[in-house]
Amino acid sequence: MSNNSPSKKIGAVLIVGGGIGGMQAALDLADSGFKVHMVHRDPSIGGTMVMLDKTFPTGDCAMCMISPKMVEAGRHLNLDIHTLAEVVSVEGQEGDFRVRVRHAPRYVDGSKCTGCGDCEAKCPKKVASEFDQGLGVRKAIYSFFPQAVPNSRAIDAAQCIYLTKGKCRSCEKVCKAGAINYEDKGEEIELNVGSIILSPGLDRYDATVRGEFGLGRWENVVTSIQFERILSASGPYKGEIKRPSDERHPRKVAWIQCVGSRDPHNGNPWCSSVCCMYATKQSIIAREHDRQIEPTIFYMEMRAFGKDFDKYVERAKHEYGVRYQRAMISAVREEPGTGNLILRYASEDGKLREETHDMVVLSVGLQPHKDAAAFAKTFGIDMNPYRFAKTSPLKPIETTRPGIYVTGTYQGPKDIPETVIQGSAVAGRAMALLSEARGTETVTKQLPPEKDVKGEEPRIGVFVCHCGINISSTVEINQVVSAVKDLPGVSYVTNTLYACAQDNQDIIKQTIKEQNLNRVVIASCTPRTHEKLFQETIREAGLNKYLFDLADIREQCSWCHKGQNEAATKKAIQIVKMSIAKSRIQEPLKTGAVGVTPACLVVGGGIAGMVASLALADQGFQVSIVERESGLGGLLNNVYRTLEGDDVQKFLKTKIGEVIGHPKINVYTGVEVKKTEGFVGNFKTTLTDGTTVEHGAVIIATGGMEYEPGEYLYGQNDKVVTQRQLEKRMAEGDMPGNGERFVMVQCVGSREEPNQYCSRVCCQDAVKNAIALKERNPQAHVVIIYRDIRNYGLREDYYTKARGLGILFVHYEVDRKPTVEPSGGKVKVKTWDYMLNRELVIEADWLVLSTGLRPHPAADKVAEMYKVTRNPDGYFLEAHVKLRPVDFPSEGLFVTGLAHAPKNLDETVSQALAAAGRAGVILSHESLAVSGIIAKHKRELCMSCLSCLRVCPFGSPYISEDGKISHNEVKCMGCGICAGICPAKAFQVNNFRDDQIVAMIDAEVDSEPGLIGA
Amino acid sequence: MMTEVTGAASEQDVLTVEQPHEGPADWQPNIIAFACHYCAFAAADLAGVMRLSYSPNVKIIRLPCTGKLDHIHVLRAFERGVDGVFVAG
Amino acid sequence: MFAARRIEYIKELLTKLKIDPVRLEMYNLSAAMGPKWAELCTNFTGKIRRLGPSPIGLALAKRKIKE
Repeated sequence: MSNNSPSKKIGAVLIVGGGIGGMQAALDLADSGFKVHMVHRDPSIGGTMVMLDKTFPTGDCAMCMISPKMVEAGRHLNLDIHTLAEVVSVEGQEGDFRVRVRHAPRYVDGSKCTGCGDCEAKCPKKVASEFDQGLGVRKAIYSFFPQAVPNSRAIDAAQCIYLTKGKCRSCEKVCKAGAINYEDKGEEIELNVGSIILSPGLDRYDATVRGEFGLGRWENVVTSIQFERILSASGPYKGEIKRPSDERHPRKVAWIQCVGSRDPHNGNPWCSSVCCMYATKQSIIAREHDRQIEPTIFYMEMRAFGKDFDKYVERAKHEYGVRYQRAMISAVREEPGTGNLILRYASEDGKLREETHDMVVLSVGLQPHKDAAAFAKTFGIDMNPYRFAKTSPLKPIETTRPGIYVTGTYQGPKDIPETVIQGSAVAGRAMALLSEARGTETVTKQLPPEKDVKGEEPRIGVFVCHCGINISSTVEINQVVSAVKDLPGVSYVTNTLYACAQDNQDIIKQTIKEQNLNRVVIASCTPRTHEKLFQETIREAGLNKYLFDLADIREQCSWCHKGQNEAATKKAIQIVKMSIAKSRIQEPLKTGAVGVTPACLVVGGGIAGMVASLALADQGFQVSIVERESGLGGLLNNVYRTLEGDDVQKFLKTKIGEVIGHPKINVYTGVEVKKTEGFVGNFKTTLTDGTTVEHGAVIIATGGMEYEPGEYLYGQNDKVVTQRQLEKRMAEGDMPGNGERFVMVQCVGSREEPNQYCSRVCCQDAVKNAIALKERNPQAHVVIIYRDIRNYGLREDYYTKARGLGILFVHYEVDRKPTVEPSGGKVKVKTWDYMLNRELVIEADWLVLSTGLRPHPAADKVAEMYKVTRNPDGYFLEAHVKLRPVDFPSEGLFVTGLAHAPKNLDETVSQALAAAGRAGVILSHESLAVSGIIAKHKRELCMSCLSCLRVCPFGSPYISEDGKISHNEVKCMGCGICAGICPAKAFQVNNFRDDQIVAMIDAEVDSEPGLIGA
Repeated sequence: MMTEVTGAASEQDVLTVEQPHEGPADWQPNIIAFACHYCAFAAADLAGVMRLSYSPNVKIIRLPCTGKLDHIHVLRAFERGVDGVFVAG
Repeated sequence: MFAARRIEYIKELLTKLKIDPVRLEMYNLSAAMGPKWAELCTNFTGKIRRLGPSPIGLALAKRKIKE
């Protein structure tokens, strides 16, 4: 890769856009030695994903997954978040950019604001909430959503009564922290960075343009993003499904697909890639919320092309009774008086029909942000005709300006996992570009040595926080202080206005020293957001950070028991006593560290393995590629062109050359992995040729195989070929003759039991080859017999082009497949034409089968050796379908390419770069810290019953050489499932030990003011 | 992180094992909840952030995961006279 | 899933101890279910209130009064 810029490189990266893609890139980079600046236009990071209710197929709540990431980003020492900000100019070049960033005024001083929300409660001005898509209200001073990061409020200048009319100042009066600043003018700052990552995210299509659907006119027509908010347990209806007009529970709910997508006349020509699946998800979740609901999805083509998507659609149909109706809706009108909606559509047989539904959801498409053109100009990058950043399938994350990379929907419509993949990919790319500057811009905290408290009697300091009036208006702080001051082990108690404020942090540190405290309990807010802050504080005062406990008397007490002051105060006392009981028997915990071998093993030398290897080697790490075949390249050896027309063989040859010539890469061909041992940072793998490789990470890129059909006369008739064979013939110069007739059959070996999945590449192959045939000889005839044409995203263009070239598309259903028989030198194909309602008979000169993909058979052994799981189809199972798409649950292991799931070349390249980015995070550390909150194993208690071995999700217990269980603490994540299941109590989780939990129970009971308490 | 809430509305609250008995007039139910850090504990936080009002009888003990829950925790609570326990993950 | 099984087992134990098993429940919640948390705290408290004090609690209280 091009590391040829002469000047010194800057070890800092600018990330523009703080959605999930930007956050992934930011955390990967900040965790591996780079300073990160994140610029985001909203008052809080989070992007689109935070608005979503749940994600499929697991039904995980989106906020559960993204909130910890936001908190992590917000607290990261080497990650600066600039909200309400935009980039105004970019100068310089790859490795050394100077960027000017304009901060809009927030009118709230983030360094003073504690996020207590008193101002919001007092603000008299109500505004429709952007976050709830206009279905709820917020105030003029507001938090974008409850879990916002940064947590500080912002004033909406256009709505604020004082800023518009010069009167009010209510928020200033009520803010005890003095954080309100009406004079804020914003500021412009300059940043110096080595690379820029663009992740500005998306806009949604404005469906009011399509007036015939009635959005904005009929109240019960909502957009899909509004429906997400309706589904959300924290949304405007608290998760109850109601329709806006009368807040009645709807029964019949209709989704209309492709609103603004695949529609060059009124919307966008591209397919938005995500709507088929989110409509399916929404209908399933709607049914889960309310069994009365009867969902219908009106669609043109079901594009369930991703990993396990088809299975999910099948579940929607068969387990949830979701009705899928292939139809184009022409109009929606309201039934007078009822608020119900009448949908008119032409069904597949051409007849006009009408149906009445209680509510309609418009599946609106994705499009580039409205400022995309100005944005591209600011950064000096080219756009494609649709205002997405211009990239190529072979370099999917590189913009036209070196050193500037793109991730997420700005590169093209895509879903969450693909956005996350590209987030790690751009991070990996920036790591390679700036590898020499790693660690030059980052800071590490200098900490005093830890005080040894072993053997000391507990001297607990308790700090009870008022949180302005957030706690103190409901909980009598003085009563809490006096209730705990004489408890055993407590040597100092005080109260504080805002425990989290900088000056009070200093006081806490000073108090620890003056009072010679050896444990600290702070009674304030939730450990989910503030535990780390306070742990750092006491660590800075020389205490081990695990000698701390946070008693939540705000979120879980004062805020939810307002007006019940007596009961809330009693509860707060109990909560603090429970914390003290736990604190009393806290032990200092060691955060261990393990060394890291800065090398990676890549299993599989196809394009995925090679791209990942090059990206890692460019970061300076040693890479070993293991390939079982005699040569590199894998399946790509049989591909000649991409759908977009790129020369694949040239690309492949270049990559093979780069791999072989790279000084940091060792290639082992004709060998396999024989044996492996170790864990993150310290693996040792032996190959079948006897070589032993030591490495800190593993990337599994075992690739796939093409399905070899047994159907449609394949192998029996030489006029029946696969798409791959046709492609090869054309590459070798074969020209279709005048009038020669090609019939292509889709989904051969895909989307049917036992292979109930879409192979994703075959529609692109068919369209690609069909276009090539027609372009070579317009007199050739091509018919594509398909189930759903899945040219998703910007690939839709080629489907449009193919139809324009006169290629015929004939739909078939799986229960009425085409039949074929030999007919002289030709093949007679019969298929049912649903449009004409009759059988179609075609005499084909060539029958071309679009055959699916299978995982490589060798994956089986690899899975067993590295103890990683595969899905029922044999593809490797990632740690989390949405947010950890290249990680395995066990640390240090990654997956990429066809080994993970069928995908196209550009997606494989992205994912390979992502695997390199993720592996780079680990390999960039000299040693890895092991959390103190892990399970401790006592061998003398252990009976080696193996229960822990069976249930541990991370594979940390193992059978050691003496045949008994040992525990690898490096792999342990501290979930405690082992402790729960162990009959001998040989496992105890640090800081959640059984004696600590029992002490909390006892403290709760003893302080119970009712029947049995003291 | 599961999503289905079971039982909340349809629970039977008829005594099947204990003899019906009255508590003293000033009796308040004392309840301990064991909550998973990532799911229910976060939900409890959110309830607070949304300023939802609910009865103050429930005291939470945070667990890293409900899989950590042990018999002895629940039995200890009942042994010490707690009136109700729920586990939320 | 481990917890759910464990809860079922402890419910049986409680029955043997003459403690009503409905005093122990398992719920599954996601982090977005703030309203559900509030609702189930109130409902569970209401249920326990109708059941009355736990027999053990009652016995312990009586013993305490005697002392």
